Amino acid sequence: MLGIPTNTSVGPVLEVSNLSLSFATATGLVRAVDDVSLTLGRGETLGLVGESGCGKSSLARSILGLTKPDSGSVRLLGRDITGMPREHMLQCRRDMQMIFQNPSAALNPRLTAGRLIEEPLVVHGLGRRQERRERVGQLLSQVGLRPEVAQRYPHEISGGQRQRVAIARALALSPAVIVCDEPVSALDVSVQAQVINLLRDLQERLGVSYIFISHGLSVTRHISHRVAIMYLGRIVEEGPAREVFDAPSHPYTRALIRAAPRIDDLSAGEAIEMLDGELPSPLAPPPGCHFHTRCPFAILNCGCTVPPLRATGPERRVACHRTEEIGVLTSVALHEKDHIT
Amino acid sequence: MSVVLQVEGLCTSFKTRRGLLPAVHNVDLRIEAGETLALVGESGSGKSVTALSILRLISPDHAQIKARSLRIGDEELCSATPPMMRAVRGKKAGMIFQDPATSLNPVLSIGRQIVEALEVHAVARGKAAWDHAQALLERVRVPDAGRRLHDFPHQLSGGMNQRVMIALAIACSPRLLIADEPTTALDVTIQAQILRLIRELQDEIGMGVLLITHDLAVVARNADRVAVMYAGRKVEEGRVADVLRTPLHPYTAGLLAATPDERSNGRLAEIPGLVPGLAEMPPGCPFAPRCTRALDVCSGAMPTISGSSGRLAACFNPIAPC
Amino acid sequence: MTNSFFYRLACRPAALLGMLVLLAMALGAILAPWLYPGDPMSMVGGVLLRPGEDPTFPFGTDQMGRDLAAEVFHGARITLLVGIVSAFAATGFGVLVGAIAGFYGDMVDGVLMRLTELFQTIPGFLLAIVFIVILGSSIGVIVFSIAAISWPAIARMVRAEFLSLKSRDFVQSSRVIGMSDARIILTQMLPNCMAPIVVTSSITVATAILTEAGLSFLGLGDPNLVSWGSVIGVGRESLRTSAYLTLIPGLAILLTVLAINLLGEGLNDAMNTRLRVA
Repeated sequence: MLGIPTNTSVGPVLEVSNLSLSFATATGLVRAVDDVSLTLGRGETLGLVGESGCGKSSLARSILGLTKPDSGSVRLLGRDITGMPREHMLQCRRDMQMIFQNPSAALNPRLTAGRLIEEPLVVHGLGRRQERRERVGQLLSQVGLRPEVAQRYPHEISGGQRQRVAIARALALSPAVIVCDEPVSALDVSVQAQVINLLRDLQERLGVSYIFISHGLSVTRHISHRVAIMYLGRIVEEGPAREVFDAPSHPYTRALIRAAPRIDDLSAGEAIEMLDGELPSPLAPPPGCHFHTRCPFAILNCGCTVPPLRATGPERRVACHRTEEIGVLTSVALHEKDHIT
Repeated sequence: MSVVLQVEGLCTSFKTRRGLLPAVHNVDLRIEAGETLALVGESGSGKSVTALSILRLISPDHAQIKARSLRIGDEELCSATPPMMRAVRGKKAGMIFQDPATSLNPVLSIGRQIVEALEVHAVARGKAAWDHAQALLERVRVPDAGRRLHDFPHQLSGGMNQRVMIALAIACSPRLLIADEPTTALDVTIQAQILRLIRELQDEIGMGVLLITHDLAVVARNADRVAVMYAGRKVEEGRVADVLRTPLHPYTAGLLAATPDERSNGRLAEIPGLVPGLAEMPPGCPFAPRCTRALDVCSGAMPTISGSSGRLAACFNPIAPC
Repeated sequence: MTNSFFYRLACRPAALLGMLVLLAMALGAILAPWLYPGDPMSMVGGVLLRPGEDPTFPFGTDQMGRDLAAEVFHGARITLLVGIVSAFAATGFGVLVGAIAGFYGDMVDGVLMRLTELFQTIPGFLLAIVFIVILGSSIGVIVFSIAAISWPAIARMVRAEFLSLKSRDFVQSSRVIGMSDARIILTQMLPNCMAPIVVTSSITVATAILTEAGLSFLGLGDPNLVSWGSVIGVGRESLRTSAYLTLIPGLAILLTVLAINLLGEGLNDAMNTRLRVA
């Protein structure tokens, strides 16, 4: 039956355990994803934040089964789908879909919006022509597009409308999980707001879960329930989105938040502690904690042993040797600053 | 304080099959030395076209650029000939673009490109030019500058390439630096470094900076004054703190409300509708069809930009009196 | 959308001219049996009549008294047919090889590219001659030989397009919704390479015509059929005294090939603008 979500189970919708993925390039081996574990519940949004080379896109691709991971497992709705052969994967495709960053590149320029939204239904042999047509109409209205848009080609509609078409296409199979890879980065601010509101509405109504990959901190904070920060293939911090962004534990998270421009931060000209240096090349990540070369709190041990991702609270995990000490140091500094200002 | 850029009545129209379509209408800009003016707008606002028009980087085959006055420094460039403009570009005014990967010549070494800029404007030649180029790279904090001179753009990261582009732009100590979305293609931590670098160089050289961006958050920390553009017109202008805290024009308010920040919860305020295309401009105020505060007069007449002491808005029904 | 494509094509006078010339050639070829009924190789008139000497023979006659006009009109049929059919076959095979090589990469790509290189490194014209010598000079063999030397260029081009399309988001999107490889190649990727394929195959027609002319000129064509090349071949002996025997069919070839090139360029511009995504 079309339009009825197939996911009615309890328990995590997606479980990733110790996933590792590396690929060979002309100049060496790149460990794109290094021992990553995460879970996603029903109707929940997990934000994945990181800069270039952090592995968030590679992680997304291995979760979706587009690339086979070297080790670790991915369980979708309780079923292990790691390295599943193509024929069996087809069934699982109905439960997991993806939205891409650039809506112009993600839609086949030679097909109309209606055909694009209908395609997943055709591929999976769902419904006859009339039923499919009705479903396309239903999806168009769900994403806030007028029925006439079905006859338009991607280049005839705006960027925001294209992204809505991409969302409708992702929803066609009523998936349990949608991986959103930078879905609003290429859109204008006012259009961004529309798309984010749409994603939230759909989540409320349909109970779909999102993995929201972005480099925009404010947007991620707004839409995610939980967030995981990645650096050079590893998760360095994880927890409820607001908590992590308002009170970050890991030095990299702190640096990211300080570096990200904020609209209410009118301290023009004030010298902010900035993270120096470039991101290390993924071909030669620093030993021990990958971040130690740029970390203001690094000690000798940081360059030798890899800090495990350990719990620092009921829902928080941080991969840092000095979490507790840093917490003390920074609260002292804040206290002093408050006293001065 | 000396005025680095003074533009009055800039109008740029594109030559299309359907005739002359205006992309920038009657825009005034003024930047003083040491000051950063941010030009903010979404796609279709005309902000990039404005920047390209100031330096006449759009070919006369495609567009008609007119202005009552266009001064960089004390030179009037309203009816400048191509040789005059060539002397200005790179020397009196520098420009950096969004994507360093496509803005640098991939087949010439970094050093060669900087030396070229120096030689063209007769700042230095030969060995002296190469030394000068190395000094420039060091000034923009490229580590191991001596060796980097001989590297090619593809061997450097995005952030490094953007530094090289900045080095190229300031090679001749220009009075004006135009930065067109300089950090949009970069990572967050690198963005912060580049913006700080631009500010430091600005203080050192005493340049005026025209910062073009779609991101109001970037404006907050990195500009002194801001001008908001919509559909080719300037709709608001003022000091950054004033405009961001108490916007006058409904469009500015809409942009601010649509940007997620620490206080936003639940739904983000949306601006209904779409930016009108060049050929579909409504009569009267271009924002009227989407404006929650629109009055009858708004769809008939064009509001002119008005205000006092640098705080301007083009609106018949502003949020607060200007 | 198709309206604007034809509009764009119509905007280019060169392409329009090319199209008109080709239509004229095609028309002449189709109407040949009615305009000049009977066997064009039959001897019907005086020997070596110059064009215009005898009004019944507007193009003149050759050394055996054959009507040059009849030969040119009937020859058009063979020349154009061979050109189109061999280009069609070359395109079909080339697209198949290029698509599979570009899509699957790795070993499959390696093997197919070695095969392509094999055909490309042997001089095409000589290879065609070898085929004809071994397999005989019937028209089928000629079409096969020309196709066999034309496909590698198309394969390489399609492979390059596929390599770049493979990483595009909309192809990834098709994989995510669960499309099979064959479906992705046929419904997603091929339609997006149509522009270069159409343009390259139109140029292939031109090259095929020239190759056929060359083969026939050398006497390797089908001896029972008249083509423009064979007519030039016959006129070769009297080149100094009766140049018109060579010039007239030569002009026909020149005009046809030129027209195809002009049309190809026009198609290229028209299709690329249409496919360009804003």
